[in-house]
Amino acid sequence: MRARLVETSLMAGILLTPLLLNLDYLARISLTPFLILGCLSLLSTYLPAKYQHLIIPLIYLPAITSLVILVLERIPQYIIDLASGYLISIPFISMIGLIKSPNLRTTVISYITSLTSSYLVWVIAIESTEHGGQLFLSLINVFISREAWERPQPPQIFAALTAFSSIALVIYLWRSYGAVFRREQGDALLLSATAASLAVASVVLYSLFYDDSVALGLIIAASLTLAATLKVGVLK
Amino acid sequence: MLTREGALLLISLSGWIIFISTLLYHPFIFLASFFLQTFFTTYILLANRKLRRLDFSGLKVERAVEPQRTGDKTRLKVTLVVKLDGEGRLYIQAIERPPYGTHLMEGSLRPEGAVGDGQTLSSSYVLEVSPSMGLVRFGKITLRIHDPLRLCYVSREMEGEQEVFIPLGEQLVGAVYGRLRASWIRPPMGLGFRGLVGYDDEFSGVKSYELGDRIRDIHWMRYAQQVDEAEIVAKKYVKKGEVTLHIVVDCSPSINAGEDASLVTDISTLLRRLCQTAEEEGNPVQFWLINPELNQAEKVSHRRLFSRVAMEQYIARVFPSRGKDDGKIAEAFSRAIKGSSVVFFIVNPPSPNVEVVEDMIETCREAGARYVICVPDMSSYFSSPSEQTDRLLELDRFFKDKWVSRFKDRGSVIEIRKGFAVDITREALRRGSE
Repeated sequence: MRARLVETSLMAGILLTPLLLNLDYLARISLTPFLILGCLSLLSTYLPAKYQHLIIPLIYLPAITSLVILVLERIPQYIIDLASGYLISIPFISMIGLIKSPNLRTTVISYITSLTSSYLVWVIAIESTEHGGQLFLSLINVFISREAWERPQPPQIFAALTAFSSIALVIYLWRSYGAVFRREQGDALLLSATAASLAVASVVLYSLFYDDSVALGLIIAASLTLAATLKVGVLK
Repeated sequence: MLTREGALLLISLSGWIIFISTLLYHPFIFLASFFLQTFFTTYILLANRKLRRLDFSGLKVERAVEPQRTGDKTRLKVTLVVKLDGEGRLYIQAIERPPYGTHLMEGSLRPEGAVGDGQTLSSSYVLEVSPSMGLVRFGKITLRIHDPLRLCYVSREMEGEQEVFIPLGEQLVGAVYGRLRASWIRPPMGLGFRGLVGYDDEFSGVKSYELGDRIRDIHWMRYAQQVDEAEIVAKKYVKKGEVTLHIVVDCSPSINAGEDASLVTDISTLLRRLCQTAEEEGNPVQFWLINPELNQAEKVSHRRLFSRVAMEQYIARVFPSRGKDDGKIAEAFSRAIKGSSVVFFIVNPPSPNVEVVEDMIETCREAGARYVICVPDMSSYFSSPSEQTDRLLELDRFFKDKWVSRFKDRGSVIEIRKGFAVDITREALRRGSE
């Protein structure tokens, strides 16, 4: 019971950053019915098996309605809202994927996906609220213009939250997959976490003085990956 | 070694870090993926170092095999137990390979789990044995010791070689031979084995006639030539000896041809037919199996082999094996072969053991023994040939023609075609008797 509670708390810690990023932009944008419907229709694919019959109407009804309004009334607003709803559902889908991950690799990748998609939608939402316009149209604008992507800066609190979530993820993985070996190989986890934290600290410190800290980070990551692949070996 | 999960994790993380740094760059996302990439690569390096220092002496593997017979099918219930006697806990995956001629029916061939001091990891599975198999050989067991997160492993081959004789029983063997006999017409007199092998004696000189010698053995010519003394001389004979049928089978990977190993099945039928005829005519059979996976005692049967069950056990050892034979069988063969022997070579060149076969054929030529070389016609074992297969078959045919053209002085060459093993045996015996 206690172990389950700890694991749930750790999962909440992992989801904290993407969740707060999502709540932050949801508070800033205007939520229209079709936007919420769009979001819910994609999330409905995760409904339990006994509610499967609800998925098709939830997906098709808003889509057909908005399409009919576009064709008959020539009002594109609803279909754009629906597309925006689909867009804001992506981080939530990633988060559900993270909770349901069956193995270590998908947990790690779902975490990065949820973080990246939450940040992407956050940037789009900020861009749309600052310059007016639709969420979906801002997405296109962000992809066209590099400046639009780099302009919004999230509050520094998110950096600290990301660090917290990443540590929570590492502990969660260890508890879930290596719990029975805590005594035997716990030192490998501690040493790896310390080394990774030191590497991050070095890159951050380097970035205070020089501009090419990303290159340094990439060189360190590539060297370690190459070393791990060559030293450990890969069998077809 | 990295596991599949470990390799995919490193690839995914590398892809993400490149994607984030080039397309969706933002410091805290980049640092998060950089942290995870650094963490996992360092962890893999440390865990691998720790795994390499592990002492494997405390690991023991045991396999128990229990044959079961349901209807006309033979199944083997295998229980695999991995035991750890030592400090700490290990995550172990045992990997079994199903022996040749068997396939998995139930259970898993790759049990895995965490094992602590004094604990065991046990799993059982059921194999179905092909009806033509009389002997099943289990190979070594591979143990993979994983790190806790299962991102890397070290593997060790554990001794686990084991032979299981499938209890054929006289009744079953009798049924197999009974089916064969139903389709077999005994060759007419003179073409059968008796005409070929016989028990004829060989004239070796003369001696004084003694009481008890047969009158027909008196050397009348010599008696007629004698003028001064009227001593009767008799012909002296040396027992030529019964003719042993030697069957040499090259168990190289090249015999694994056709769908459902149909060439091996045809070879088994051919061997049964030869054994059956030898049994009817009272000739002993000796098997010579060029199979690198067998030891010398398993390769060569006793000279006087009449028991069908024993024959079946040797026929069951005809399975494709990798590697090259050490050639000791050729030395033993050279000691056993005589001028009166008849040797059947079953070989599918090119094969790694073709030199051993050549040595044995050379022995037959030196000893003056008659031999028949049976080579398969590979084109009959491919039902849907493509352009590439046709080209390979042409090459195979070219090589075989070139190879067999060297051994036609005292021997014959016949081809094994798919499903024609019985007819081939008749032809082989006819050629052998010529």
